[in-house]
Amino acid sequence: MQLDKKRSIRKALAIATCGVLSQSPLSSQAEDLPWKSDLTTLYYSEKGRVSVSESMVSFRRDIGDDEWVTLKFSWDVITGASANGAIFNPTQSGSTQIVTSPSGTSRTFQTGQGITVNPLTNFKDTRMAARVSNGISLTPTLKGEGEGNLSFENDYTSYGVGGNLSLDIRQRMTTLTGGLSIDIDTVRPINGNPPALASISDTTRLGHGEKQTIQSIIGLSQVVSRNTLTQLNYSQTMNEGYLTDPYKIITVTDPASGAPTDYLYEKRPTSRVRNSIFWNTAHQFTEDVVHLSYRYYWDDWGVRSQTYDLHYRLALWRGHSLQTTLRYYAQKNADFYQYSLNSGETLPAFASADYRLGHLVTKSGAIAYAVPINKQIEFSLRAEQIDQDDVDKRFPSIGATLFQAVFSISDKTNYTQSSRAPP
Amino acid sequence: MNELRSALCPNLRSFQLIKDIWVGHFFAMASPCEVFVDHEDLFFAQKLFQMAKDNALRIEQKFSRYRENNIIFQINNADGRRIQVDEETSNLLDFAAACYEMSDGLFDITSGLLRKVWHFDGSDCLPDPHAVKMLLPRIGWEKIKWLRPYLTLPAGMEIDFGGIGKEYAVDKTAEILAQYLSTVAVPPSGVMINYGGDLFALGPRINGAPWHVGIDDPEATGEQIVVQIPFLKGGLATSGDARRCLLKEGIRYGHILNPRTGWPVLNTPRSVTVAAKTCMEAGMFATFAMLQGSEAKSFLEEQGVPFWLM
Repeated sequence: MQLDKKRSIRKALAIATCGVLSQSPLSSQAEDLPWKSDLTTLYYSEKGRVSVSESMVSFRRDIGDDEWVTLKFSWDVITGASANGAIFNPTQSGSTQIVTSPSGTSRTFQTGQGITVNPLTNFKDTRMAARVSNGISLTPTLKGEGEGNLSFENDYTSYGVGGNLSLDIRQRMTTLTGGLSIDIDTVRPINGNPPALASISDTTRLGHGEKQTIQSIIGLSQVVSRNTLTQLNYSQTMNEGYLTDPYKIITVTDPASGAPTDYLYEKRPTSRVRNSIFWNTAHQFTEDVVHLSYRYYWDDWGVRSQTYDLHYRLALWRGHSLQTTLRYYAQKNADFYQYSLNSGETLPAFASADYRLGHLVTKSGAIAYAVPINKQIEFSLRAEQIDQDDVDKRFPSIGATLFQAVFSISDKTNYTQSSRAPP
Repeated sequence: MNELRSALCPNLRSFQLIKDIWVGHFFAMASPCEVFVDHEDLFFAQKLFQMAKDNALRIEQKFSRYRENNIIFQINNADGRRIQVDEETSNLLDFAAACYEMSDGLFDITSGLLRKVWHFDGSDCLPDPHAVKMLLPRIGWEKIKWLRPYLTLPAGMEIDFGGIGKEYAVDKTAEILAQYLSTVAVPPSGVMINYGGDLFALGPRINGAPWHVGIDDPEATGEQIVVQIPFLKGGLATSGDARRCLLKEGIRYGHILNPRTGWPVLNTPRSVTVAAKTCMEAGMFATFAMLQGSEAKSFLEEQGVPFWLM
């Protein structure tokens, strides 16, 4: 017979079949599309402050049906001015100094009556990070994933390993997850870390600071109905070591005049236990999808925060979609957070004027438009406006805009949302 | 253990739970059709069942050669005129053309005319060789002008999708069900489609266990299962001559016809079952293997696909 030409028609037949079926009935395109990838570039800009440009590329490869590997690289550049903790608009004007930054050179500062410090520090930093993970289906209902990551900045390095398990039960209506990760970070400013609560005129410098982080997470996700999925996570993060920010300072003022008399480097405790509970529910209407999520966060520094998030995906014609996100974040300050210290008083055990540990409210709104280029490629553009206010009205409000472009090559719809701790 | 029999039990109601699996039955494309749904929720199962049935009946309606108000009728009665066909029909014609190429002309959707002379009723009535020969000039895909989306059939020729339609219906149904499952955030598993022995499993059973598919004994169709195939996902199709053949002077004439000669391919296996990524691929491998006659086994071995020969 003519057909018997000692050649395989397997591939030709598979190609011919693809032409008939608009998509493979299973997500078996893994064979046709060995690497799925996402290319993302984003630009974040605070008015008159910091701007961040980040590029990210991630790949995923499925090895058979039961194993996958992911790789992710990111590169970002941060430039601009950030509040260093010094008070804004001191009552007395005088010569203004600029304190050091990660890329800064060694400098000597003077302090005393009539000398003030610019509350904004200019800096520039570059970060490179990579993450690799490998997941396998151990049994049809149990999946395991291990990961390793590292990141480098001019003055900061971080190495981490982690793993998680997820188990499907009750006819896959319920998924239980558990994960553990350990990170070791090193902070090494160019000039060494300053002694805590020392005056910025003190030129003593110590070695680098190290910190260990252990994060554990447990979660449950439940298919509530055919259109509704709900998810609940609890995570605990324990930080140990050098948790102080070597670039943040706190102003010492004269209680009578309010004028700065000195500026000290801040000091934070050497341990922190952070907890968060995250709840997310996704509901699919005929085509639209709505996500509603809430997070409550608390730690032993006294910081409490709540995040409300509403995300709506409006399906338009031909696979186009419009997504809107509204987020409200409210934070209570850390116990040792102080805008300034009074001169002549005993120094507290810990003190920080870092606005990120302060009394904050952040409101943001985002809009994104996604266009499918073909069955596997989607392009989306996203714009976000973020407004951050210091409730105590000491630090000026920050208005930021974010633009993001994502080019995604994949074949899966992912309904789960990641749970990330607030800053 | 869930034995899925391609033969139907006549006393089953149209929808019932067999050993924790909902099974929907209907009749389409001249075959008993079943959809197995391994989910507790009856309404959910019914929804999937309805979607499957709608799709199977739609495909039957559109591509059946026995109807007079569809595209196949239009094509076969165009009397030499050029016909513009829709996207789905175009896709199937492209597929048929590719299969014709791959099989060096052995798989040919214009060979249906031979039905006029061959009646595989288990008797010994072979057709008049002259009558067979008279049909040959009206058979052959190469005589057709196919320039997507325009099809020109010489007058007197016919096409039919009998050789691929059922497998296509299975895959198309699987695609529709998978899409639905994804929109309701249910993983694609726990659903098995069986249209007259052409199957597709959307993932394993909900507990992760494989489906068990029985292959009928070619000597005793619908009565005895000779092989049990554990089956996780993908397509599975069987081609066989058990029910459709002629027997004369000790020679068995199976229903697989060589379009070049107009006569059955001899020494074919009694039954070929192939597993592949899709049901269409599985069906084509099984059909191509049958067309190889005694070479079926070496053909399948060469392709490197899982197969069961009897």
